[in-house]
Amino acid sequence: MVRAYVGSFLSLAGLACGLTWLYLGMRSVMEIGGACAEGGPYVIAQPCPDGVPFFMVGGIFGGLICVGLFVWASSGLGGSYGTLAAFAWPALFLSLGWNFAEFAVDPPGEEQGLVWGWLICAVVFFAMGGLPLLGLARPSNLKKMLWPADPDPFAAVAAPVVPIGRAFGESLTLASPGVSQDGDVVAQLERLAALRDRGALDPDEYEQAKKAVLDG
Amino acid sequence: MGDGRRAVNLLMLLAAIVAGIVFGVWTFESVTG
Repeated sequence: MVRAYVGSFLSLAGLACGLTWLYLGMRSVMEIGGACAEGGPYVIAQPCPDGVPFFMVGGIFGGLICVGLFVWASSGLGGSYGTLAAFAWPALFLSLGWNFAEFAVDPPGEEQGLVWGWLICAVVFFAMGGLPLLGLARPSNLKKMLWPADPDPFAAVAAPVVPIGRAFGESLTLASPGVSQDGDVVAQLERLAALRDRGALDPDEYEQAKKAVLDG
Repeated sequence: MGDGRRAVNLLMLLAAIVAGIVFGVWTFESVTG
């Protein structure tokens, strides 16, 4: 459990740090005109600001590694916190899209007026980040990710047979995975008794679940 | 999972995001600034 907390904290912090480096790195490159170069055998017209290449490359690869680590580490927290990593996509594109939009409206140096190339990039980046965000940020999704419900203790052991419809006067039924055949009832009762003996179920819950199994 | 643990998880995630951003700005500014 401690490992899950430490791992989740460090990997999520690393992901946020990587996105921050990318955002700031992009801004410092845009401030000198939008392009720079470093290394190689050519004469470089516009060298990169100190350290920016490291932060850009480190932000990309560090962020990707941290996404994977967060999904792995957060699985130990219970719930489905790992799906929060999906927000890295809109965070990345919206933050970089913001840079494009800001510098398109207020270009660096002596340039005046709108920079249409950057404005188009801003629209594309906002669409790439914003559209997935609309799906991800639905209230039901957020609740599932941020405030996960407890799993139903009876779902696996005592789910009733669910009628799914009627056709041609006959009842169609779909047996749930928990109770598929009559012979399973004994096994279900044994599992319930074992859960009660272990203290996982109190007597009331045991009786309720037993009744659900027997009523089928 | 009780409400207490859910709240701790949520606070930990928020703290991680804030810490990551602060660390990112600090390291970037100290190298490039």
